[in-house]
Amino acid sequence: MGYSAILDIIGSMIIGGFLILLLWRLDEAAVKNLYNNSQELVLQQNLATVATILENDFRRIGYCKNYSLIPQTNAISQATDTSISFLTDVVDDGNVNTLRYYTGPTSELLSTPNPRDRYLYRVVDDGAPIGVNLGVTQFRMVYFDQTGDTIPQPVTQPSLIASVEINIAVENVSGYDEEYSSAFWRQIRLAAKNLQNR
Amino acid sequence: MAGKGSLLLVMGFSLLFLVFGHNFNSVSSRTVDNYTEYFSQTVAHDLAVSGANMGANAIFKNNEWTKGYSNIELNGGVVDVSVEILSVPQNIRKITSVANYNHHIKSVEVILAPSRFSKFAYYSVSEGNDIWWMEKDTVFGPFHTQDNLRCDNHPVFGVVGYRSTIKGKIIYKDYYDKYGRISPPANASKTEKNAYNSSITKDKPIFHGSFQEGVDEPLPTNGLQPLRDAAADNGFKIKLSTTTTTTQTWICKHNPPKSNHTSPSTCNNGQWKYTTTVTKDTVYLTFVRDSMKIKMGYNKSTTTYLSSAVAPNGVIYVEGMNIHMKGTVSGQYSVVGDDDIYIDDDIIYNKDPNQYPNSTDILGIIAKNNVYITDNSLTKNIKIQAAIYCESGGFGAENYDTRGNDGDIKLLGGITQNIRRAVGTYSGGIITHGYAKRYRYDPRLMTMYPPFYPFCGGFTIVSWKE
Repeated sequence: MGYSAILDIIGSMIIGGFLILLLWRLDEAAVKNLYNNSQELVLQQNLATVATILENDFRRIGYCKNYSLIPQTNAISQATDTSISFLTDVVDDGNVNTLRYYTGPTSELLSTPNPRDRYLYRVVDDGAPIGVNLGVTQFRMVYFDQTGDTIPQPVTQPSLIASVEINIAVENVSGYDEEYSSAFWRQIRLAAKNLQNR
Repeated sequence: MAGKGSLLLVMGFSLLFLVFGHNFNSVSSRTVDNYTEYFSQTVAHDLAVSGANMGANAIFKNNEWTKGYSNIELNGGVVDVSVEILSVPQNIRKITSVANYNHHIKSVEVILAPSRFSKFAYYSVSEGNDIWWMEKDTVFGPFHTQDNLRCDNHPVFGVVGYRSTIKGKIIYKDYYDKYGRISPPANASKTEKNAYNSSITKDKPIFHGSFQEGVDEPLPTNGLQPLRDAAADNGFKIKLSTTTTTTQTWICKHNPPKSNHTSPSTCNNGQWKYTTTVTKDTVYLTFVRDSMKIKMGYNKSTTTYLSSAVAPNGVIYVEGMNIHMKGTVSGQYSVVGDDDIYIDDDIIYNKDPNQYPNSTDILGIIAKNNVYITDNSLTKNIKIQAAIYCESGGFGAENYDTRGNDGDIKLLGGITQNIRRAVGTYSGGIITHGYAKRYRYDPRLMTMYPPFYPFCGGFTIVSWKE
């Protein structure tokens, strides 16, 4: 074996090493990107799911299939910037239900790597709170009166509420290298039609 | 050998990139699909709402409209609107709007019921020239005026979540007093515009529930006719009754005649003159739970009737005469008068809705002209439980500015009137004559109404399902 063969072998080992290194980096980058992109897809699906559920429920504030059963007083019984209770007909069966939305503390979700995510609770009547973890990190509402002015918190007279701004932020429940993607959804003015009937 | 290896290397990398690229593209396109899905659902929903609004608008314009819309192309989608009559006697109608956008189907259902004036806690055509809604004024229940809404220092409307509408504009007192205008014109000075904004801050009304300007809901001029017809059909019609009085006067023939005399003894030269006058009787109506006592004049005899027997449909109509009424009502009745109606004492429900929210007792006091609280000793701190309607006049207190301080009017119900009338006078915030108002809306009036209570002439949305 001459020098040239040895040089060939050494050269090919160096080039092969670079290639392996390149492949290893490529693999890591690909895995990271794929993970992040997949998480973003999940994140966006979570956000769309939360938004759809909230819109469906909030549009039915003050609705009941048997409309004579809805009390003619205010349909929103309690409203803070992070929680709301209102009267509605959850399963469209003609019975009036009280529906409550609120978020739990972050300490309830220590099992997920994300330190900011929390349960979003949806409680029907006096039933057990059902929390879903869709990576919600913020659930905040702003209330407006008939003239479009913001009602200051705390809302002492829920009957003044004419429309609601809903803000939702979601993040991945786990992130690659603790890097979390986030997405934000805002319903600028949601005015439940049944609030306008009275 | 090296060439083959290079080729394999390139092909291997290409394959790897293709696989990764495919995955990335797949994730990206699914992300876009996700938002497209949400967007399509939102557009389909908005189209369905638009269809429902179009249907409601068509019914508001023409109450008999049931044709619906078929295959309307809107914003890239298709909308179908149908109208169904759920109840013929009650004339309850349902609009169903179904929208299809990108194969996403959404529907909206709206139920409409005839709108009656009984639903208002307060309705007026004219608010008077210089009467202002002030800080302590609070309207519990639906509100409407055909006039401007004159506000001074944050009056409150629509408690606790009811609709308030006006045909005119909101007038803010401080600005109005200073400039005599409703709002500043485009070329107004900065000072005037600042004064307007300042007055809004100081006088702005507080609306619980919804508020809308420019809503025209006129009071009819013949709203009592259906009630008259109903009374003639299956109700109780008290026909016009008169009392004939003949007076005799001795006409003195002395020259010059001294005067007219009631007796010839004061003038021995003359003759008798007879004058006959015909006066309309007044009907005195007293509800005694399931019965009613009626007499045709103060000194006339009383007849007692079983209310449900003489007025099966609940309408008691007094033709061409004033009515004086009081008592305890059990059942559902409308008392209708062609002239004025006077309330002589408490008129209350047998089952007070304050204690029995499911009480079915309900009363309409419906006058062509005015409804007055009689000036007598029985009307101190009077209790009235009824929906009151005054087509040409208003609700007020008889001799409101000369009678004594009679305490409070405790009204549970609603008032619909053409002209806002006074019930008392004040000095320094203290009643000097008449009454203070303690008006409470009867929430049952949103869904219940006294028999044949006058229509607003249109429909109202009672349920909206999205």
